Amino acid sequence: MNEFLEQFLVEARELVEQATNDLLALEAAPSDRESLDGAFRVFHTLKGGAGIVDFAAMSRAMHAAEDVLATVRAGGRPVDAALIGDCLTAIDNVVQWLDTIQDTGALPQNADAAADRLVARLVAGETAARDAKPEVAETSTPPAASPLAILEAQIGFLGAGGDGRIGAAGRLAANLLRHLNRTDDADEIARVTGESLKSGRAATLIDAITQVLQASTEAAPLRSEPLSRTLRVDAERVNALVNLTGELTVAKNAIGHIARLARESDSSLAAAIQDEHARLERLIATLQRAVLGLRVLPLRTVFQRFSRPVREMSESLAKPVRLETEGEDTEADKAIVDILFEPLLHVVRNAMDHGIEPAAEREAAGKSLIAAIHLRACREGEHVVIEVEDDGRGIDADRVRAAAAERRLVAPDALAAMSDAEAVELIFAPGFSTARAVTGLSGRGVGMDAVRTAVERVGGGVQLRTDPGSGSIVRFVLPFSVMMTRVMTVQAGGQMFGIPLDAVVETVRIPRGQVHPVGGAHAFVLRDRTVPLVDLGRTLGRGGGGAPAAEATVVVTLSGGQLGGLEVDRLGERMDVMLKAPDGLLAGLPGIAGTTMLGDGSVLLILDLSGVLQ
Amino acid sequence: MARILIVDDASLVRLYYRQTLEAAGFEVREAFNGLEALEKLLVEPVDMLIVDVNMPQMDGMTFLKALRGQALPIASIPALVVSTEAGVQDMAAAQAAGANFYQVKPLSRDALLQYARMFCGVPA
Amino acid sequence: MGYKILVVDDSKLARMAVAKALAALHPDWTRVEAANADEAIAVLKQSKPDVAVLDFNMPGRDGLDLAAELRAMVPNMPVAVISANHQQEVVDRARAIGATFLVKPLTEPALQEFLAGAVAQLKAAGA
Repeated sequence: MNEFLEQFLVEARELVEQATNDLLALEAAPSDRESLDGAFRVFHTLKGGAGIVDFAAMSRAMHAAEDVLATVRAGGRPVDAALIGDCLTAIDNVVQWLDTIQDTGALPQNADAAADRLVARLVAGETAARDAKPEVAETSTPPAASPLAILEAQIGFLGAGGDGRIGAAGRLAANLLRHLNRTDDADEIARVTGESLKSGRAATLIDAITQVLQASTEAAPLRSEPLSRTLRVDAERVNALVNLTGELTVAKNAIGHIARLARESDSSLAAAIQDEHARLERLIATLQRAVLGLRVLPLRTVFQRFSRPVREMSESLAKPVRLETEGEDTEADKAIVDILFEPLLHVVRNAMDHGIEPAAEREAAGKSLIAAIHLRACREGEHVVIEVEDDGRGIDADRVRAAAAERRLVAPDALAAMSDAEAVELIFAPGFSTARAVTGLSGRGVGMDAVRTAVERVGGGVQLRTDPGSGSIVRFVLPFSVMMTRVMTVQAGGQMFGIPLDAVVETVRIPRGQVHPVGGAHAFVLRDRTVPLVDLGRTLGRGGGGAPAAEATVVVTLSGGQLGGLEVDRLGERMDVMLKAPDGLLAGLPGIAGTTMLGDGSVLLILDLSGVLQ
Repeated sequence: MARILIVDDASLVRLYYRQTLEAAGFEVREAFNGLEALEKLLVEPVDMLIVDVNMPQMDGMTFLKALRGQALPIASIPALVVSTEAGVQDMAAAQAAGANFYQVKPLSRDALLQYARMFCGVPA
Repeated sequence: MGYKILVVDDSKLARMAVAKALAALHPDWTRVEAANADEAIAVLKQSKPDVAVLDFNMPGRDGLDLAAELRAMVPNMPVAVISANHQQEVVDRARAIGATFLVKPLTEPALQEFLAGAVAQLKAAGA
């Protein structure tokens, strides 16, 4: 957000508070010149500010309010409740607009209509406008509960007993009935309250209230509001639960460790400890799933942000497009959903910029005039799959080859040797941008490599399938829940590391003779492919110990679309871990995705392969 | 004339409630937090309390618990708690602390006047 | 040769807008700011600006009163008063004081015109 907009928001919020004060003071004392001038000046300044940052609808509305107050200043109109109400409504609108501007950088779509209504109201000062539907559609100020609902609620309130409560509930109940003009019932309740206080028994009053409720002929349901099936919970509280569950997992693993030690020392307790550990493991696994399930959001929250950008791009590019979404109810962890918008937006932009042909071309090719972009989401086991499909012209492998050659990303003969499918994958290469002319839309230097990186960072992957002439599909595969990572442990340079299993293709043993030096590095051949080989221990600064083994133990990984080989000393077991983000000294190290604590209390470093293979 | 004590640390809110209620004929008193509210009540009783939850030094719930426990007439003043949280558990918690009823913010002028009339027994 | 300009407006946002226009037109000039009439007088005494651009609508003394005061302290100082409300009386008052009236929102061409005139005036006076 630029500094003008920021300053605007800061000032506007202060001005709004000032105006509210002035207007309320003015209502209390209509001859208060200072408050009148103050309110006038606020609208004037808000008008000017809106003009500077180009929010015409707001400027218009403020101008109308300013004019009205100018008339009042000149004596042409009195200060009355209607006037103050209208000015306050204008302020309410501004507050709403400021919130939208803070979130999106622009006024909401209905701002012009809202401004028109405000202007009409202010100018006409009619009461009719006020009786119509409330201006500020989004805010729902809840209405007061009904008297009988409040009466019923007193039963619950009385549950705790005590003279203070009995007295309070009794007074309120009687007043509620007086409000309903049921004076006899009110008097009866007052009498019973006295009895209840004397005996100290709340039940007496509860019974009386229940009787009054049952006798009520009101048709409306007695329950105040239906019990909500959902709770609004602070995201921080859920995160705290997730962390706590992680700690529990660690403790559980520790007990597993103790169980093993007990077995080894033939302790008589060994079997019992083992059993309890097994049970703990099952319970904690269930808890983990439940807790991680708290943080899920439907993908609708991301998908629904696309209709506007697609419409705007469709207009500015003059390419008719319709957007269709499927599977919006599919859920994913909040951490995933949060990062999805930018990469998806980039893919959609690409589709609109390069994939979808101008109408004339589509017609010539016998395609429908209105192009289609599909946003699809579905759950596949432990993964969430999101697809962006367009029915455009697809990706031309030769154009990609040409661009890659031009940018010297790949040697010409390697390019020629690539199949079309492989060539097309080059759009994910860093430094590749398919934007020839930098259209204001895609030319931001955010390439498909950034999309892939963002997705891999949360443990997912992105693939591309294209059918020249028919269109393309970009497929995102993401973990349903971000925190659990399956890793393969390895020993390298005397230390244990975890490698995310998602990235592991296979493990092989390569005879030392088949490891070739290439430039300053090493490589080996795997099924006709040359794969770079990296000594994990040495790379992570653990120093190589002694002579290399006759055979290299290699973990073959796929990361960033590239195959790589990590030479390790020994392979270890596989495990599910809850990843903790690196902090402290580890935070700055490239190549570390996180840590987890093992059963024996030691810390396992989980590798970030893109950092390691760099 | 019914008297209402507003307990809220936001001067803007107290001002807004005061304007609305006085215009409808109620007498209004104000307190900045639970402590000040207790002090004022010991001197002068009221017919209704409108209590915000989040206040410095003594929040709404603590105030009501303390109030309901007194062996004094002021312990039985009906109280409406107003707060930002919206959940079934919040009504229960508020009532357990000593609120007769619980309403989510923001309170419109109409709703405020409705509650005032209902709590103070003003015929509709 | 760069001049020094005084910008007075109670809205920081509005001052930012003038600063931006000024930077585009005369990047070599220096700028001092004030948020109201009192501050403006203090700044004037301290930094002696050559030209002043004032918002009309300010709390306390308005831009025209300030303009009159500035010109009393520094005779013939080129002063512009910016206002969105160009009622005739405001324009007349401005003229009477010898201040130029500029319309809000301030555009670069309008500012440029005023500054060109100001520079000519200053040069003629030997500044």
